[in-house]
Amino acid sequence: MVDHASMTPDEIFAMLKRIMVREFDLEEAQILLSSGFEELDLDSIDAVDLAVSVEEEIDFQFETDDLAELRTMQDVVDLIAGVRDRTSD
Amino acid sequence: MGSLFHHRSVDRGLRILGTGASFALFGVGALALGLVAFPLLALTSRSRELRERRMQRLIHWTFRGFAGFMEAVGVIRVELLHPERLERGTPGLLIANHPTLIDYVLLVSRLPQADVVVKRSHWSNPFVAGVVRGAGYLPNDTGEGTVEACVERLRAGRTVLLFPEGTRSPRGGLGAFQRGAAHVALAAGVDALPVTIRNWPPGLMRGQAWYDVPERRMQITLEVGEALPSDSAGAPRGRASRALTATYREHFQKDLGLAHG
Repeated sequence: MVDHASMTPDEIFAMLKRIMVREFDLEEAQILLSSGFEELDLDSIDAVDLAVSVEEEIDFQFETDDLAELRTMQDVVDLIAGVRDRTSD
Repeated sequence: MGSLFHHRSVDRGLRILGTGASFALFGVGALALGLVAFPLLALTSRSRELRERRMQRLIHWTFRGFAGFMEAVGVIRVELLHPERLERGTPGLLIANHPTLIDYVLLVSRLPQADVVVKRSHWSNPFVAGVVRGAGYLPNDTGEGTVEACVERLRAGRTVLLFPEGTRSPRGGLGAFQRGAAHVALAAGVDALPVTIRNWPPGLMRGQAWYDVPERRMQITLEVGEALPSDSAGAPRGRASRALTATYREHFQKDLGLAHG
């Protein structure tokens, strides 16, 4: 399993796009860093599925409150890259 | 001509009164159900499930009476097409479009038991909060939680009613469909029974004042369609729910004679 700490933001974003094309039938060109979940028509169940797929590919674990705080693809990249503060428990 | 205009004006005036009386009756009835019936049923039912079933049956009979009242005062005329499709055992998962304010009332008036997925805001509405709690209705905003609760109830042999648009349709059209119904159908492995609701002339629609009654009595048709099967064909949940939601929406678009979009 890939160590998320060794991934660059571009690699993280590429992985996310690959997962989203596979899981949600999106076009890669639709998915921008600035794209919001609502804009991409992703609901809360999709967010869970995205998190599960990410955890299956790399050694990153989403915490319970993480998903509720994420609004854009940039937020997800930042969280995985470790540059976003996590919600405290 | 003057006499015809006068007759139509009187008729419309009476229907405005009838509509107002219906709203008042609904408010009083909902409060009575929530403040009186629910506590009594809670005291006399040995389990939550029994309480919910009793409350749902009571709501069903109340709504039958209410629909009858609306027909008697000339506000609406209701027709149910293919009732036999509802009567084949437990209907299971029902999905319906939502053009008018009284769709839920008319559907539940035909269903002795129904677990209904409703907007979260109803839990803080003083008139209906008691009803939604007592009946064990499900809020539509807890994602996986809502889906799991619906699946549990379907597996227990109960009927679950969902409005995929999540709110009333835009006038004369069909809103975007949320994917909750598809998620429920796929997770439970059940078909969905569609009920297409048509109303003419337009009335009780989104953005329309209650007193904006049409020129003549509103005809409302509830047409129970053939079951729509769910089959993920092994696709990921996200893809399968999107494809199935598109199938559901296409069914209603076709039934309503709407152009694609």
